[in-house]
Amino acid sequence: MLLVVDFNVVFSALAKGGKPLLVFELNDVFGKFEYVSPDYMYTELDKNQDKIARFSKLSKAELSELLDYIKSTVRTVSFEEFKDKAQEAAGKSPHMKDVPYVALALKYDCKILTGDLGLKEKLKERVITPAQALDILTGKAEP
Amino acid sequence: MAELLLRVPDDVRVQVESALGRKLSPAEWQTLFSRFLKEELKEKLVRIKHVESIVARSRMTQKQAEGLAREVNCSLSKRFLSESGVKYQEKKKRGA
Repeated sequence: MLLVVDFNVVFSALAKGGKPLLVFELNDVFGKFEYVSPDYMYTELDKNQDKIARFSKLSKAELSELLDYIKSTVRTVSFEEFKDKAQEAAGKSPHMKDVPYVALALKYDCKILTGDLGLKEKLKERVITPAQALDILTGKAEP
Repeated sequence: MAELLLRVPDDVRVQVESALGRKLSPAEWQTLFSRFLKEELKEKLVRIKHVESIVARSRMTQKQAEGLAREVNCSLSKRFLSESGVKYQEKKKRGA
């Protein structure tokens, strides 16, 4: 099952572990989901490494290990592949920041894994929360 | 010990048995599978434990995480909209 990963889940995982981190770890074992994210996500992430290091108080080496782990579990998709959905996504997204995720989800007709309440409220059918993803990973709910 | 019924896919069975030059007994399949499972899980669990131990030392707050995610997502979206040639119209909030 394909899922578009909103990076707010990744940052939550880096901040508090818990459910957002478990969705990556359990999927590493069970492989029920195929995680994808828009291209340049890692470029943006790398650009902010200093800030992430300052907030987390983790060393550069530790941070790099964490980011490598996330990168090994989420495949990025080039803008070229889904930019034909940009216009439709811009009309449906509750906020500008959500447009690439919505466009990618529209392109692949799949859901977005996010903890963003605004996105969840506006696009209920297109969103899955970390808690819901965990239920699927542990067999408590059907995909 | 937990028990499970294992069906070996035909292509895997043929590949393994032709490499070994003989048919394997159910007991041999069980040994092979247990060993494979142990090694595969061990590697993944070590990796997961290591990641957990790093995250446990993170002092990032949820608020900081949300702010960073917003910043990164805004920057990514601007790049995507620009490359797609699409303009985003801010939506009016309900009741505004």
